[in-house]
Amino acid sequence: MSIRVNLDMMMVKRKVSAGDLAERVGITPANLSILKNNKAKAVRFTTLAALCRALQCQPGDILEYTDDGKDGEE
Amino acid sequence: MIWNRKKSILVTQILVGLLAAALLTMDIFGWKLCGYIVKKSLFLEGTDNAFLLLMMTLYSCSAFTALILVRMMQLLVNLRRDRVFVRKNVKLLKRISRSFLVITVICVCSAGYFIPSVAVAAAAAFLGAVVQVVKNVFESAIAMKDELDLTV
Repeated sequence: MSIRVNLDMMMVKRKVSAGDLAERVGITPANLSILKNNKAKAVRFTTLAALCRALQCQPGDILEYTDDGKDGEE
Repeated sequence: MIWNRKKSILVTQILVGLLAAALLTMDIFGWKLCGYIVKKSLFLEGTDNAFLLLMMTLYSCSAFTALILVRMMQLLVNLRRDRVFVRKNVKLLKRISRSFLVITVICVCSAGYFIPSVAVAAAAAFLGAVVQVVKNVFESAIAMKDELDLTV
């Protein structure tokens, strides 16, 4: 079971580029890429709040829980 | 003089260098040391080829001690370059621990003809265990650092 971050859909809806979004949220493009590619191990609430503010959405719009058989903890 | 981390590492590097010099001196005069021990030691009375056996033990332990010192210096160089919690350092610590284990085994074997080797074996085993614990700490720290690095 894991949490997937679905940023691409919201970015297309709001017509926001990756560079713009990274700047608005206050993270580096590299970190945004880590989020988009589901490589992140954790997300700070401040980052999540900034993402929701920038994309005008709710956390549930960009976070999805999936039971894919992989345990997040090693 | 303001004391800081880099100076502390430098002092440790100098200490390792001095230990290397002491080891080299012991290697050069090892045959004399063995001869002296064979002459004076009550433990070696009646042991055939005592001198040869003692030389073999001394120089085999010395080789692994040299390896330990080289890896310690590599570890310190990494620390100076602010490369602390990296997998390379875990490998170095693992190798240092294994070298201590080999020295322990050599000394346990040599206890068959020279009982005081047991004391060296015990010291080497203890040091190997300490380094192994430090290796485990580094591994945990790397896992935590990776988690932190991937926290957005």
